[in-house]
Amino acid sequence: MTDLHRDTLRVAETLLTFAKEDGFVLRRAVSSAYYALFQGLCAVVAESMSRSTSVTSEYRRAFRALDHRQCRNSLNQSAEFKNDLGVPFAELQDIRQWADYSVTPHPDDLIARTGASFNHGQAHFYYRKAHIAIYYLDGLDLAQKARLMVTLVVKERS
Amino acid sequence: MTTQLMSNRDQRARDVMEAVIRDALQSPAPESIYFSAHDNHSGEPSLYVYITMPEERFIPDIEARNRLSGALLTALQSLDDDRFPYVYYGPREAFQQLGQIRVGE
Repeated sequence: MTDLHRDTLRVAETLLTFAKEDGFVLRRAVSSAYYALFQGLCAVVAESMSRSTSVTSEYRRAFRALDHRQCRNSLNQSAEFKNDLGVPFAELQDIRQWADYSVTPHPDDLIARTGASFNHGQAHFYYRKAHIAIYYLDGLDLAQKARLMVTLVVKERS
Repeated sequence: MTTQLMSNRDQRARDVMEAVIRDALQSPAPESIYFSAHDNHSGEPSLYVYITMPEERFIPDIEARNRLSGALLTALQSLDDDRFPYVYYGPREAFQQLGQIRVGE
């Protein structure tokens, strides 16, 4: 696997280290945490499809095979990958959607109405979710990676 | 005070989610569980659960939370309900103000 996802996760960690209670920086941190996990999934798919860990032309093409929406749905319909990847992916995707596009102070509307803002502890929680999910990805053996690739890429036929 | 009315579909989802949560969290049990159904930031219909634990130290770790959310997804899929359940945990103080916003009625 290439290291793009680890580099992106380090960006999230660096932002959290310096953010304190800076809302804008916390938003960028959780957005980076989401992209780190997405890129980790892209790397697994690229490695499994191209049968290569180096950046060949096939690897590059396969790295771009994933669609964000299909990723979320496929992982959460998978008995094998739902808990360790599907749940954190969906939660990180939603927090990224809030971080990048919403003007409300908290990702949950009801909590926002109490006047609470998204804080450092909550941002760190999402960073840890991404970190644990990436650790899980890095520990998959070849057979598990192949099953994950099929889960993510191959559409069900009715 | 805001009250959000639940449809029959929401109530079925709430009942099955409450059973899963109470089965998973037994020692100690949650003090209270709030439910709400509203769109997430992608504009998709979603389910929200706010679990009040007696103290912060009783809040499950991330892996346990993922397992519980996975179990909630499975239970909802058995109802043909594909909404994603977002679960928040906190000690009583964290949701004190939320109690003023009535949810899940």
